Amino acid sequence: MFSSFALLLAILLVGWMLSNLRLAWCGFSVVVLLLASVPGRAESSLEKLRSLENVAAPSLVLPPMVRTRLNNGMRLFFLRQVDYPVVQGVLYWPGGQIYDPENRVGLAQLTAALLRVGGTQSHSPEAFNEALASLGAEIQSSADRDYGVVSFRCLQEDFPRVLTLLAEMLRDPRWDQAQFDLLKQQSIEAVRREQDDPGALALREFPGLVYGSESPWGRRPTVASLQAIQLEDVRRYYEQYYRPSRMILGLSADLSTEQLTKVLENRLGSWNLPDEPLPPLSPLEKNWTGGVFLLEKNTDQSTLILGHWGEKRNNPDKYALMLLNEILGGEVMSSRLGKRIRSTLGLSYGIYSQFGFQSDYGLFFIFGQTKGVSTLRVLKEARQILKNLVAGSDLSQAELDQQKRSLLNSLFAQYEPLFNYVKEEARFALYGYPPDYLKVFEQGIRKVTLEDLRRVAKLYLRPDALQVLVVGNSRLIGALPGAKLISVEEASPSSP
Amino acid sequence: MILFSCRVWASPGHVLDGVETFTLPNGMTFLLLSRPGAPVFSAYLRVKVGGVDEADGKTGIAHLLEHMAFKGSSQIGTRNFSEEKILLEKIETLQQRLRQASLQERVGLERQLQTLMREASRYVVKEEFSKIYQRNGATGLNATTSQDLTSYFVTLPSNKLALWAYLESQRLQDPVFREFYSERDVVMEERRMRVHDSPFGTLYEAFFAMAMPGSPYHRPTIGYEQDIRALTATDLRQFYNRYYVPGNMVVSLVGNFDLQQAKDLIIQYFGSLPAGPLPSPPQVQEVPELAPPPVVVSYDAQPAMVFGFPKPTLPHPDDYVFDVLDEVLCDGRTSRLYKTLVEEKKLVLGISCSAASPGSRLPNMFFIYAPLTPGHSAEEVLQAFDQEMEKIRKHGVSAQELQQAKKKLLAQWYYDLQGNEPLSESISYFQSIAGDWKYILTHPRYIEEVDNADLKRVVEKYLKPSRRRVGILQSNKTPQRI
Repeated sequence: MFSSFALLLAILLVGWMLSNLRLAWCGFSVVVLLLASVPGRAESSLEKLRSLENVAAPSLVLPPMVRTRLNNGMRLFFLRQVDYPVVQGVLYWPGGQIYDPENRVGLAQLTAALLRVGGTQSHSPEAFNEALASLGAEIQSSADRDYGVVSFRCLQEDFPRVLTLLAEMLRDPRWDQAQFDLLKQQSIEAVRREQDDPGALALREFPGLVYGSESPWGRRPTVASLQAIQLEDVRRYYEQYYRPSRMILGLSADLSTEQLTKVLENRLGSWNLPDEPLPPLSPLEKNWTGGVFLLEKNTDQSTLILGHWGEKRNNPDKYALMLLNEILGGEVMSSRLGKRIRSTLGLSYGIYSQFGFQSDYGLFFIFGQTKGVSTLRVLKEARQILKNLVAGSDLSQAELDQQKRSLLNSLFAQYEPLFNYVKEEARFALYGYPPDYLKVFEQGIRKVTLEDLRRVAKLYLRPDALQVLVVGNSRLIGALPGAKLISVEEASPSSP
Repeated sequence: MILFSCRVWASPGHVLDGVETFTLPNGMTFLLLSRPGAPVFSAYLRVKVGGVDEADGKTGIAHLLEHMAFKGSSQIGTRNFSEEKILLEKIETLQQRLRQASLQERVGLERQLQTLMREASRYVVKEEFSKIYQRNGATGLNATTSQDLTSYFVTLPSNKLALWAYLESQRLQDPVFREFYSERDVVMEERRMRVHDSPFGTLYEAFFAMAMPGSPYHRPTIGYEQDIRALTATDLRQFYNRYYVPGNMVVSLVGNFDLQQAKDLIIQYFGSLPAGPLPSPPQVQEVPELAPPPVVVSYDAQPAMVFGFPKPTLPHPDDYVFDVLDEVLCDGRTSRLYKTLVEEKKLVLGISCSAASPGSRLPNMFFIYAPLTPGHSAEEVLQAFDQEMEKIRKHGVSAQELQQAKKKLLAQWYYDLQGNEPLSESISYFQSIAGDWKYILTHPRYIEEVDNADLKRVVEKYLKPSRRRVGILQSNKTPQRI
């Protein structure tokens, strides 16, 4: 019974615990603001709520975080966890899919995946898997858009052996040809199967509409780009991007700092490679070309994405934009989009918005699903909600306070379990944030005013220049004015 | 904090040492685990009601009720309940009349209904229940409905324990089903997304309908389209009255909070819920030994297959053997089926198993899902699977494999219990399903006892081709739905 519990994590079954779609923003400390009062309500229940909400903030005593560097330049964030016999770690480095060579899109992901399954100089792929499995240990390796990540966990008693395996994997990969061939085939099939999931398909195609399908930020792996990748490409990519001096390790374990650094230096310290800067990428330039695109698919529902450019992580307006997005559609049930389109009109199960920040411009978008015949209605409603937000006249202090409190109060949860805290710290370092970033964040959120919200809404949201992508059945949707058809050729089920 | 050595941890369970069971006179059970760490706690509320408890023709009602449990109470979500209440009652009366109405009458009644709903909506404070939770720092606020259980959960800062008790007791003792009919439409959208427009969802539903006749598990938790469409707030109220009784609920609180304060709050807020008779368990007929013919679903998608074998559920001794078998056969790259079906024969692109589908309250299935490699057929997969079973039946597995499976289950045991949220989830789950959260404590010991003879016996008894139910998702370029 217990193992099936773990399996619930598999996408396949998780879909079968029906769950109300919500998006949580993990975010810190307490602000006590007065409740916006609701007219005409029984005073007693309001009093009751006030007394339960306006309570003293809990005290947060943080364990000391060790911030240091190994001899090879790898940064280390470490928290001692004494009450649980599990060691967890995460390793981040800048890189990722945006550095894929033009005709080898998918290389970063293939390299990351093969690193894990392709064996090491002293272990065949099978022996490596057996060694990990015999300890019940887990190592995962993947590449995101602008970073790579390896994460691992094991029982405390097995940590030295798991660290040996991890170090071997990072330093001396074997790049087994048979595993490479299998992985390539699995990746090609995965691309083909994305066509089977309208939500995944829409999210996959949308970045290309904003960034341009040739942009390092907008392109995606195709059957052809994956087929072109050879083992030699993987080797080269690894050599160029997997540099210890660029890496950031976050870890929690029941070890003293001395014990930990000693064992880390022993396994990883001599993995020393010269520090070279990452190759330059041309900076993105925002061009505002709104349009409507239809990807024909025989579904009952349409999947909609409408959006445009987001912002950079270092933009000082980030905090105001985050709060603005929360008001617009950060939470499925109680945001403006959710209240109107889901709750009042009953037209969508999941409709939300996201304002993305990256090392260069991220993406802003509204995403939702609705039955085919409601497509035009939902598009119209979403556009109107966005226009009202930009007009700004109905933005209220109560709305701002609601979202500020929500973000600030939820920050306590960042520190539990302890590994969460160290993992976030490592991620912030990857983004180039200062060491006590959570405090910076907290201050940033606190300072946002209603005027800021109105200003950033006008500055960064462009309802007149939305790229709109609809995945659905045109017979149900009806006429989508000005829509251009796009197709996804390799997804055909008859493809080899 | 106390420093434990590794040795202490060698026997699992210490993490659960402080769990205190606290039962109110009305029968509602609370599991409390106060532990050091950040000032937050994770709460799980489990109601032992799910798809299996629904009557034929009323499928989807448990799930819709879960949605409606976010709509507030007579105190939360309304501008004036005494006036709103009159309108909500009128809407229900009209809904009942509409059911018996002739075609000519319907148009007029529908119009009246729309007017009443518009009027009622003026009293609604939109999504106030969720908004209160959010501005107080809720993370992971959500709910799920499975075949077995309805679960409500949230993580909050510790200073909001009393607020939590107030909000949860409100939705348990005084839920108001406002905006019912638009929420029913939301669930229809959810069904489109999860079932109709999902190849796996379509296959899954068709598979269990074929595979488990006689068991309530043969129906989908989200409900059939025609059933959802016909549900009313009155149906919901009856269902709620029957199943949301204190004796049918388990709550767990795990995190940094004061134990005594928690008990006082529990008595204050949940003590007044009226006790009610425990609902009778669902009726199950024995699933036939021989498998019916495979179900084939034609869909505009890449091919895949599922298959499964009926088996007993926990705490049957064989259920533990299935946990080990699941590891040996399917878990990770060292598992037998991954090595033969994926790596060696390349028949499937991946493989995943579950030793307890689609639930655990009733006899269930050992269930396997595999996306097919282009050019290979389901028959080839089944043949290769049978060969693997034959090997285990004859020779068992190696000592090293068995040891590895047990070590992985033990490590997983620790991974699954790390942090407030997973701890709260696990203890409340097993208290509800197995009748005692201590099932978790004894699980590693039973796993340790599983041997090769058990594996051989279980494969022989349950994993026979004649018992196997099969579902196939066939790629269909000109789509036609079944």
